[in-house]
Amino acid sequence: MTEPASKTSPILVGVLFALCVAAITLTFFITPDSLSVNLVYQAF
Amino acid sequence: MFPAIWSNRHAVALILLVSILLALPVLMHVVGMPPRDRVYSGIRVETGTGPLDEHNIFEEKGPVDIVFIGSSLLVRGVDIVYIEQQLSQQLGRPARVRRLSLKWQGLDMQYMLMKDFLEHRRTGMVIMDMPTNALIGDSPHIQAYRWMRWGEFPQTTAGLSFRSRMAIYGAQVLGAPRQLVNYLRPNRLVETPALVQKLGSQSEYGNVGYYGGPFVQEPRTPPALAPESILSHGASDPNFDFDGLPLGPYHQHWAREIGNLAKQYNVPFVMIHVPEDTEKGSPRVPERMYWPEVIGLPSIPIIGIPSATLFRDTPAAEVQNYYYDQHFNDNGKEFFTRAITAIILDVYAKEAKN
Repeated sequence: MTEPASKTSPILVGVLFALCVAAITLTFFITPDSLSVNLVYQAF
Repeated sequence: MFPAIWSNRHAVALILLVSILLALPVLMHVVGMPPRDRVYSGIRVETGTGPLDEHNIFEEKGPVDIVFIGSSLLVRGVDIVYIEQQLSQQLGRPARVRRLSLKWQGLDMQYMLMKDFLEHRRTGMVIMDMPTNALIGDSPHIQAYRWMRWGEFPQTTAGLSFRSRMAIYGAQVLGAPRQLVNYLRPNRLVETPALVQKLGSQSEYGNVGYYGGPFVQEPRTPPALAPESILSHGASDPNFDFDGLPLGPYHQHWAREIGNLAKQYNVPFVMIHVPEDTEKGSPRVPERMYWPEVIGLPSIPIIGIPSATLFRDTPAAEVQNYYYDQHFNDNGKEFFTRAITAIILDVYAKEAKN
């Protein structure tokens, strides 16, 4: 059984990938204290 | 298995979504929404006194005699109502004493509160508590994503490191969708004045025992202390220890900006130390640094009482009855407030702008 082929432009996929990398990178700068405490207090 | 991205249209939609989320702080600044006064009500009520801060800054009008700015230690340490009553007696007119604070410590948060307040209300004197060792690390305040918005403090963030500025932008990205929702659907809960006051006083901790123990009512009349003995007299004052763990560059940056703000508005600035439970028996007031130098206001007064002096007439085993954790319960709040009120009134009479 053959998988359906993606018809997406590689350039668009590349742009999307770069944006996701940027978003993930940004999370590394957010203080872990901030995230954990807010999760504990359900402050989101 | 289907591909994760099944068409160009799908890819463009995802690119737009991620781009908008990442750029939302900037986009909101360009469009000019939401207004600054909506920031505070978006702070979840369980995590601080944001609604009362919003009321004090944006809703109530008129000059204020004294504003206290700090962390939860200040909320549970100083009885604003009592000081307001005593100041009214001294002035022979109704005085206005207010407090701005959020839970957790951070000089970025205290800068923001002070800036918003001074922009909106004429102020006779600012009294601020400085971070204790409970402030761990050197990063933006835990709630920074609620209130630190793109473009609002462009000059004051200019001196920060790349890492700190990225941390701030990360907080802004995290908070922007919530601030947008808060603008579209304001928080109706905090429009009840009684609830705003209750949240602001954190009164649910008033009659709570030490770390879950039973609450024990204690005497609330402090020992008689000469006002001058609870005021620092320079870096070498024997009652103060200014050689604690230094703040990191991020919070020192905001300390300097707080000093600049006081100079810009020409408002008298005073510091206060609220004793924590861990200071029990200490003959000196522990401070992390010599703050007058750090903030660039070399002659400012610091009010503080060594724990051993404050509780000199209290049996050692009963000192914990004045706290519910590191914060004062109502025993401690009343006890400490009565001990410092005379010097606050004295400093106000000498320093305040009327």
